[in-house]
Amino acid sequence: MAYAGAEFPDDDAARRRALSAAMDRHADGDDAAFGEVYDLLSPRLLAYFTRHLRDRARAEDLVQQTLLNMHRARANFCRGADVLPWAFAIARRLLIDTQRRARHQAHVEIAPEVAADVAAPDEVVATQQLAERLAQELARLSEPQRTAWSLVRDEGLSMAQAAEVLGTSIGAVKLRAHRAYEALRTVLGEPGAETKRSRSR
Amino acid sequence: MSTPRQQLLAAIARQPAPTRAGVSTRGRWAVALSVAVALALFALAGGVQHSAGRPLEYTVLLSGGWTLFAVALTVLVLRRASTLGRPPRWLAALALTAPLALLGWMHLFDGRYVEPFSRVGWRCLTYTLAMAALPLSAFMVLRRGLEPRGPGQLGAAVGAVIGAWSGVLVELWCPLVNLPHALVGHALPLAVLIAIGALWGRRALDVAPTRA
Repeated sequence: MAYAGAEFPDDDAARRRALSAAMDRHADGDDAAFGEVYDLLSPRLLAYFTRHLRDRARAEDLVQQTLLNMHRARANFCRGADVLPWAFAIARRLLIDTQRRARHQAHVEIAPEVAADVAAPDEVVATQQLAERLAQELARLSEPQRTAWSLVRDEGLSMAQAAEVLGTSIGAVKLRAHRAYEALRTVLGEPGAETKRSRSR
Repeated sequence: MSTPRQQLLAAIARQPAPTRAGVSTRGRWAVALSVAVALALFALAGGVQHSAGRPLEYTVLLSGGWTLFAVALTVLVLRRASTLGRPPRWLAALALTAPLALLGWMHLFDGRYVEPFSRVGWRCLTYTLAMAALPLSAFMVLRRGLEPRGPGQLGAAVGAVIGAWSGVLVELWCPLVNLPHALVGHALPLAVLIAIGALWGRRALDVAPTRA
């Protein structure tokens, strides 16, 4: 398994640079530049919140709140810095606050294309059972391991970015993600069973 | 019906936020005003003359040491390589070691000269807290709602920074270094500022303070 600490694809790197440049312009007073920030960031934030909440409307609301917080804190943005760790740190904080209030359970979505590709009913059942087992194993992980796994595996952040979001070292994130992977490997390694990440871009 | 994008852009148009230049200006005014108030309190209390009973070289060394420590702490806490700043655990560690480090520095000079009088240290404590009140309040207002990871730890660390700088002036004013006095008059106000910073920071600096 390759963690997302590897090199980003060119288009991802270009997006990161464009996002940083747009946020820089917004921090200097260009309100229109925030439209670019929205276009580049909101799909990833929506995917993040949707993965953790049952309610798409609530996820969209949290996307708006995250971006509004970024706008309010625009003066705090370091020139040329990577926007993603900052955005996800705010998003994670808002998510924790929401979950604390509503006590929502995290769940794993099965990508629609997985279900569409499955022809036989017993394969659909097997996929659903795998997803349930994956969710159970994820719930058994410690919170730091689950969070590190989620940020690196589901959100596609690098180890360095995830470390920044969590306020810890890269080594600690690697260790947590590795332990999570080891704990989930039994479930992930079952022949004929795949759980894809749900992506909404 | 407007799209989420349009709603967001309309919201930011209704709620203008300070730009980098704007915050930089406000920050400079806050620092300038804080320094002016601290110097005024220092002068009203009697200034450097009040520590005339201590040999000048020790006054220079003690306050010089506090100054170097305050500079180092300021850089370590407030200088950022990224938007998120130092990890919360680093900030907590810096905050907790500050009073101990400064107490240790003062203790090195204990017994090296005859102290001109004996005091518990309540005035030193009061002056330190009084000088720190404005800058700490200004920080909490200017950085309100901006810290997503460790608002309490950031507040504590900033309390330590501000307390160290206040302590520079108090060290210039106070001629005493004996341990009981140093504990009450110099280390305790730092600890109080760290605790206030932590509690206040948790509410004021947090991106999403949980309401009861």
